[in-house]
Amino acid sequence: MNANEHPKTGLGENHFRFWRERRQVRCQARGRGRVSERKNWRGTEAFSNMIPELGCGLSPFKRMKAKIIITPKKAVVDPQGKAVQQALEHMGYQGIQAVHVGKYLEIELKGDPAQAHQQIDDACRKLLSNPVIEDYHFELA
Amino acid sequence: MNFAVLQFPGSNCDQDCVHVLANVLGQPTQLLWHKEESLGNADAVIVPGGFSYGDYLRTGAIARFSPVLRAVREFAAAGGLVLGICNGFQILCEAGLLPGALVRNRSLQFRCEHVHLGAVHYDSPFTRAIPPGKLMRIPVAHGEGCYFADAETLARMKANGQVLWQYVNAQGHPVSEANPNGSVENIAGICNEKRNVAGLMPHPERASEDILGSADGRHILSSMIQTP
Repeated sequence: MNANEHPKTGLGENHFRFWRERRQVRCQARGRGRVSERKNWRGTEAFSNMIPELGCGLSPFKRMKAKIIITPKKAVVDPQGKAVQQALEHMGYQGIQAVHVGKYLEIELKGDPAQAHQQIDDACRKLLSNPVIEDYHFELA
Repeated sequence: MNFAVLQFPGSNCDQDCVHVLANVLGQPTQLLWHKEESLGNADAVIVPGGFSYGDYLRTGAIARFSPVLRAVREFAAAGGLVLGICNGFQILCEAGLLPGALVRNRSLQFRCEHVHLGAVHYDSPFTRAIPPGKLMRIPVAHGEGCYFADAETLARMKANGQVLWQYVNAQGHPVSEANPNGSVENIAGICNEKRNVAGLMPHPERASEDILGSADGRHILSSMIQTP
């Protein structure tokens, strides 16, 4: 057993550190201001400086997953898609018009969502897809 | 003429290329690991066949970012001769040094056989030593050798005479039966606009000695040696 873990719950040092720090930051940010001002503690600088690797859901250090789908361009012959289509037809499935075989990638990342979006888009163009033969689209959540 | 043969993790035709260039054609040849950042005193570069980086993601997609490819890019921009064979052709296309791309064979089969190769233009540093009208018997060995370029790019390439080699039948005609992978217009190999970078799917280094059943590949490699 890790010496830093809580003896009963097994929760690690990071768990307690996260909540301790969150409480401190929140108190600092709220101060004695009006209720309407208190709500905004997540937007404060103190909040964004909070230990990011512990993953606090809404901070600028958000953990995200990019789901990327890469498909062959319409003009490129897709023999894999054709072969799968033929197999499906042989199995007796009705009404199949076309099959396109592509790739699906998941990238886990954290940071600023706008910057992450830009990075993933750049990576899709430069490495993850070949714009001569493939199209891509992705969502970041 | 000093040759450099690149070596990526997963290259498997590098030693064949070195053997043919050094022992058969008698040229000083060095093997360059992909981490090298300089091409040394090379006058010409061969990007050999194989499965660089396991062909992960796409063929040639990851090799393209190797340090040595940066050096090759500068070398090519300065007019140096670069020939990509099979996976090397795929790498050069991925790197944007050659137009178009290579996709899965139409038959979905890995084709490993001798083909008839005909040169289309003889005015390049990769074809000038080929006897006019010569049908070369050279092996192919690939699963993703179907050359593709969009109609506009293809028209521009043809206008510039960039299609250097085509798959042909025994009579020298580029018919679809002679095409092992379904490439557009039976294209087997092309060059860039400046005609100093070329790529082809067949393996000239595997057909450069009579004992191997064909020495026709020598015409292509010795074209690079011959001074214009």
